[in-house]
Amino acid sequence: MSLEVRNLSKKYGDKTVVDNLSFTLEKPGVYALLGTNGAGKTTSIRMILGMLANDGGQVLWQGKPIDPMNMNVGYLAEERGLYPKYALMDQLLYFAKLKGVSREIAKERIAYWAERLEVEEYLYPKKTKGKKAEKPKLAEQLSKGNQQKIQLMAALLSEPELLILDEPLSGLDPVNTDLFKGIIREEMEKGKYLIMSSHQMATIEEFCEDITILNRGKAVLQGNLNEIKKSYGRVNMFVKCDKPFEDIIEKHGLPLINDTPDGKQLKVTGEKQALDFLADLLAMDKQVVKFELREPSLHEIFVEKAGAAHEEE
Amino acid sequence: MKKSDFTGWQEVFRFSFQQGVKQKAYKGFLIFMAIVMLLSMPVMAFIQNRGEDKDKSSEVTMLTVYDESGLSIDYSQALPDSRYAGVQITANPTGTFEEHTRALEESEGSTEILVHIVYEQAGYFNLTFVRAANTALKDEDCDTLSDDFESFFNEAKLRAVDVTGEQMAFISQAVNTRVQFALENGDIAPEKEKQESISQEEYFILLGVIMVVVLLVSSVGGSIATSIVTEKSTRVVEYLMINVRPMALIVGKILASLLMVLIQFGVIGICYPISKGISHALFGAAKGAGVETSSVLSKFVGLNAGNIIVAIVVIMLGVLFFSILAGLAGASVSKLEEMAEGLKVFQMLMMLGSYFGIFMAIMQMFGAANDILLNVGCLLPIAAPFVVPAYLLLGKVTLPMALISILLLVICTVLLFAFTARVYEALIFYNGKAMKLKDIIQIARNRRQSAGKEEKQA
Repeated sequence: MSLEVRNLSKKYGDKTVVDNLSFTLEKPGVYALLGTNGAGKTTSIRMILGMLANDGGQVLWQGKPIDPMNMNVGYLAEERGLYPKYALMDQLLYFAKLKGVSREIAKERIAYWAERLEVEEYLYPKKTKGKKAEKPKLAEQLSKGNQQKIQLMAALLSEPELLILDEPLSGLDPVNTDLFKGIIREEMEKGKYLIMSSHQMATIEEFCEDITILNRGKAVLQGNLNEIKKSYGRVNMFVKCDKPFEDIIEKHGLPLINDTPDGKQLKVTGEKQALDFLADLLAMDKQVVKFELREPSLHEIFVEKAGAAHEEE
Repeated sequence: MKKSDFTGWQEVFRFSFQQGVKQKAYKGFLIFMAIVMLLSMPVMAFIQNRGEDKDKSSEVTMLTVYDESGLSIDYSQALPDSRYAGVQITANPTGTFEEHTRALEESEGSTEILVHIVYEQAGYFNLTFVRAANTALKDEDCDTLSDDFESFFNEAKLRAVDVTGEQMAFISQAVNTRVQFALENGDIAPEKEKQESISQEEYFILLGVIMVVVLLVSSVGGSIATSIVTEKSTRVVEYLMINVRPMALIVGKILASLLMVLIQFGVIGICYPISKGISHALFGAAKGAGVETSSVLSKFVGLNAGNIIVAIVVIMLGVLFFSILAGLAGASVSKLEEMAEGLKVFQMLMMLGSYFGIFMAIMQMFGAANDILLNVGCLLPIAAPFVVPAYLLLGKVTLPMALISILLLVICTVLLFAFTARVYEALIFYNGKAMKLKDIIQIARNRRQSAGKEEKQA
């Protein structure tokens, strides 16, 4: 067990923003912290990183209270931040130095990541023969996506053992999203511990084995994603037929979740009900084109859990 | 506060300093200050010598004296200085002063001056100097000649009544007056120290030192507040906070800003002797502006190595005290646009302190200040950095009082630092409208209560 969060709580005045949050990262991989806006994800991350004092609970790393200043941790904040008026290279060297990385090693790693993230032109000004060298680029001269790349570089420069990524893919175009995903996958393969918060459920499903869904500071669902899904059972049925089959749906009394040109999504109570439904379709010769029975997606679970919690309140 | 709270301040200091000195505004200001300083002495000497060149021959060619005072004075030696070698002196010529004046008015480009000396019934000698309306003479020619002639006349009138040179030296001595109390036993009570008024030069020295400290405090404070608000508004602080504690951030910034300002003053300090050297090389040691400077330095009766160190320590502590306040103010706002709002308390305290110093200087000039008021200024941490250095060097504040002032400043700075340490972490993540002082105090209270709970739990 490497990272353990025990009963972490935070209050602002009378308002509890994080309420007894507990989870563990037992082996390397990506742990997802999910939640609606204001659910307490960023506050939790800030407490894990020791930036914010907690009002209760403990965070342990390798069995000892976590001390981010004396361990190798990388962090990509949700709200991107670089000094707008300072040269990018200076900033990266400063961030590396704060992490105890020597100037020479930092320069090597910057060169590697600059190439990997395709931002060399901003870090290494062009030198044209006979002309004055271009001035180094300032952060304010970069697009939001490129600033995000520089910040990811800053988080990775120390080759951290624990990497915390708060909404790493928000605001990125599809090309850069794939670039970031590739890097996250590489870090996973290197045996790193990652905590990631995101609103992109498909991405979470792609990377994460374990999740916590937060709502108003409380963990409303926690555990291994596959097991969570299994616990719901295969209750999502997708059906497409060449002939109308509303009469069969009515006969079985199935709730219609979604109706698209690609077919209908129906909710069933279990596999038996689904197979009965399929038997009727075949018996009535509805010309079945597609029949799929699967577990709910993370998106559906999230909406259900976060939505239910909202309704309760 | 723990030692680990300050871990990493060196890196913050190095980066803040490197980036600060790279800024165009800083480099530009430094160059500007150096140029101004280098030119100051030669320019002053040039202006000074232009107006007061004692070797330059007078443009006056004729001086006519109409003496109706009744004294018997030989005016042929009235202007013995070599500058007046070309001046022809005529005493009591034929015709009246009025007739000669009319003739002078009609002349074109005359270089003659008339002097009319009368003894007024009111009991004083009146010396009237007249020159033509369209004279070729400059004001400085007439002023210099009238001053020198008056000096001659003051001596000559005494000689005219047979006062010897020795007697004249005796009666020219200064008069010192003391008013003391008689005691019951017939003795005279020891003289009480009297609050003497300060000279105009001393007043300007006081104002100058106060202004320098205001400049230091506001520039260091302003740059720290700006840096903190920038880090907050750009969210860089989130990245920094996983590597360094808030207190290390503020300490690194304060020291970097302090060093930047010290470099500016160092450059001024280096440029001063160079400027003086240029001035001497161009105008000679006797005429360089250094003559004026040494007369100013003579006003600093408390100018010695010990007092200079104490004065610098007071200034540095003052800058540190106000810098922490500025850091606190910077952390209480989230956007650069709101910085003026956040800096209100800092600016108000700085103004109060400096105004106290200025008020003291004005009171001193009119001889109305008293020791109690001066001591209050030395003991008040917000006023001490503005009051103590100049008054100490002018010999108006004693060394023990300055040391007490340092002690109080240290205590207040440590207390303010402890208060800042308590609220800074909460403030640094605060995102909203500029916080008021009462909100910040409330945060400190809450933090103390939660710290107390933690201790109990432990």
